[in-house]
Amino acid sequence: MRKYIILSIAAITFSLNLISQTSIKFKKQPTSFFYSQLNLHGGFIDEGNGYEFKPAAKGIRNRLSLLGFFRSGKTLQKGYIQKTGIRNACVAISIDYEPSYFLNTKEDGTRTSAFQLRLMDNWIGFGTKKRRVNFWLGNRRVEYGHNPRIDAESNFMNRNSLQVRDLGFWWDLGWFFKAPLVKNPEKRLDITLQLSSGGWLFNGNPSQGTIMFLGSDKEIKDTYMSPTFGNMRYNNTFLSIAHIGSPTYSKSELSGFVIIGNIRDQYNLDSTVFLNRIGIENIYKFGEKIKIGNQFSTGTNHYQDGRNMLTAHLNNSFDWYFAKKFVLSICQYSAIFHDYNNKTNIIDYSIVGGLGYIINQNLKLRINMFYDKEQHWNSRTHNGAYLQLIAGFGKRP
Amino acid sequence: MNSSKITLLFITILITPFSLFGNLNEKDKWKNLFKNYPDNKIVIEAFCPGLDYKYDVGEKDAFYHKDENQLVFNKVTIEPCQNMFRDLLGLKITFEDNVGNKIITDKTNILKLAPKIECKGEMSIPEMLSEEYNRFGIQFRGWRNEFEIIKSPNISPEYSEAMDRIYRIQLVNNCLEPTKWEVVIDAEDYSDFKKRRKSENQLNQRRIIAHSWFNVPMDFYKALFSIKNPEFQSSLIDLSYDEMSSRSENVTIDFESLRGGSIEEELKTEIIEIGHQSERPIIPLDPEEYYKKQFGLILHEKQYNYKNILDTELPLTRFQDRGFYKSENADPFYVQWLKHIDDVKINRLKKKDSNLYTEIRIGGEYSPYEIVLGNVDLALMNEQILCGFLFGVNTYITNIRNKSTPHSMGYDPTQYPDEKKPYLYLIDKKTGTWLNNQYKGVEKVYVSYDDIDRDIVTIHVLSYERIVPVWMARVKLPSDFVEQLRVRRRLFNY
Repeated sequence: MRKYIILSIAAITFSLNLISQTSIKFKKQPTSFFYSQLNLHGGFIDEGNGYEFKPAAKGIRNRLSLLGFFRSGKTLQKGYIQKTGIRNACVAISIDYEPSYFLNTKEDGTRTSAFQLRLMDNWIGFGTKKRRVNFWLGNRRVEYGHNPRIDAESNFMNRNSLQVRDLGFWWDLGWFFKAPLVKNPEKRLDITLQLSSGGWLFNGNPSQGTIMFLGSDKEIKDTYMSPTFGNMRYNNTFLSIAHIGSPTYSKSELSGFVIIGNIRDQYNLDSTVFLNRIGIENIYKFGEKIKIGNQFSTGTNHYQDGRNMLTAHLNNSFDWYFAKKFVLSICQYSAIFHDYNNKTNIIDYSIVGGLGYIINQNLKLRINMFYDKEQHWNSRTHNGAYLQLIAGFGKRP
Repeated sequence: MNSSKITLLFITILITPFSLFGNLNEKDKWKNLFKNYPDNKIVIEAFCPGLDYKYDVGEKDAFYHKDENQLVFNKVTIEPCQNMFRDLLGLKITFEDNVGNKIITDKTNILKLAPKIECKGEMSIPEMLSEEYNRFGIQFRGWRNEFEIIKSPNISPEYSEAMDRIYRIQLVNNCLEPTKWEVVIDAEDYSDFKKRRKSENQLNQRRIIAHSWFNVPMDFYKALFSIKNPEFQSSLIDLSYDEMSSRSENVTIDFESLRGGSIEEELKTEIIEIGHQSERPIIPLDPEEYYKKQFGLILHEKQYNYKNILDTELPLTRFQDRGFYKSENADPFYVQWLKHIDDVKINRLKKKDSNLYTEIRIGGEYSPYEIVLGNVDLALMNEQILCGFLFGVNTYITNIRNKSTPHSMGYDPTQYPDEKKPYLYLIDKKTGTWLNNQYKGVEKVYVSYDDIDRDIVTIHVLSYERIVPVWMARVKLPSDFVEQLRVRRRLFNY
């Protein structure tokens, strides 16, 4: 739902005066909207011991999410923003079922399941007197490249995004800014800036944004059906991103970005890693049918334990919306981490593919297939296929 | 470097000085606009019909025509501004009242106030009629410092405070006659903001504090028209309204050329409601209609619905007076033909970069006429606003920004690519020929969504001049199309 929410909200405020002889409706329209979405997701996975049927432990978990979206009645009443003003706000939380939660571990080290209360998009959006100069405060999608998805809603492919793979987290808490940089119609450029907490609410890939969980294993009495806070310790982390490139409405979004931060280490949550990245991406669209994305970043990681690594990440994706109801998606990720002190390499690779059937705007069915080969996780190889049902209720932007 | 590249380079070097010279000529051409006027300034007397004039489109400020001398801007000076901007000569326009208070709009993109003829051949005549006899203009925003206020040293404190509340200027090419322009000066009043904020109806803080009309010289206007439309003769302006209308009646509209492509398919829509069949009550759709109702111009005597409005005598002040509208000039007539409009078809158009543009055909089996609205991008619309389409091709609107750059799927009307220019026609269903929509009593079509789900399109047809909603329909879009519109919004908006 994430990217989807952000873009649709922006569209509402943005396109008010651009087309035709617009008039605001005399009868005021609702400004508060509530939407809930159920994700049922699971299938067969081979973790080295043959295929087993399991609830999803990759990508979107089984989840019930609740969204509240609010437009500023004050700004609508005024009709314009004199200097800076609130345009809208979003509150989104979810309850996820994580089948193997590392904070809910038995004495023998076995991870068990838990219900997690997670923070998703939670922000306040501000507009300024200048069109398309906006900023947001709160928990938002990390601006590590644009989203190459055509059907971004709760998409399984997002697990291979650079945000999730390289940094470990999709959202971060902070300040996000977007504005046109070059307005010349022939060569327009936009700038996006982010200054955020570096993963304060991130506490492991399977539980980013978890602020509380309930254990569902009776053997772990401390957490069994007992609200338990997640790991929310702040470790003096930060993340800064500057992204300059063609606007998102361009047919071809060619961009470059720079990232510097000291973030929570997704492979050792008690530690942090200082990283820098420079990257480039191109996202190409053929009408509303095809979207092709290529993203590359490289830089260094400096770990608290003294390791230093040179790293490169590559994400290629292809989305095809066809026959009015179907979306075919393929997304590949590969990365290399070269420890230049010890002369060793870590290589991670993953490819996911999916076929989505859009029954209507609130009901979608997807088959998600994946193959992961990750040296970062003890050289594990996972592959499998999940079935995902997305059902939404209510009103949303 | 091969020989062809060398040749190209050589030609480029040769041509460049001429290109520069060409630009200079362009500049000179602009400056020629003022050559017949002393000091390169056109000074015009402006006039205001006064406090009792009922046809102002909005709420009047307490200082509106409170005094004959202050904030009644009766002198307009048009002159070139000092610098070219965007390869055009900007104009500096000064509005002055009797005590010397001035409002200056500098770097005015004057070409946005000249009608643009978007069609060629015989279709250019009805197009001229639609553009010229339409009210359109540009706005200057105070919060972006797009105009300057110079107060007279003799101004009283209360008028000084009133001028501080001015936040927007609209410079408009009036619909009543060629050369007739208006300036509307808006102030804002926050004295009852909380009350209005809580109200169920959208009445904002805008108050018209001054409104003046003036006629620019015909030679100046014709010169502007020629610069804007070099392929047309400015003598088009000399044609009378009736002459243009009668010459247009035989023109067949070439929709194929307007679409810039063919129709891909008819969407499987479902008509949820036709207003005159459901007898839906008529309520003001936007604040302008509300004020017209308040002023007694529309719907003031009884409750109307979309059925009985079609049997009602609608008071309209058609072009009996090319000066101001006067209520005694009302020319009542009926729009009964809309009783036969009971069908809406939405076609998907084939475009090179999108297949979500649509053409909406509003008609009916027994209707002699059909309203055709094309090149509509439904992805741009939302439930908060009504998108008004005017008859003609890409007919200019009143709220064009003086400085604007297209930056999303939406365009300023002065910047639409040819193949995406919206068009709206009333045609004879049998012959496909143009019909004068004003003679048939309709002026505008509003398209919007029922609610935030954006799956039901609401269409309203509004009457001529008084903009009374006289016909409406609600049409449910197919779910796959709704989803594709969502995708389009995500992919191409910001």
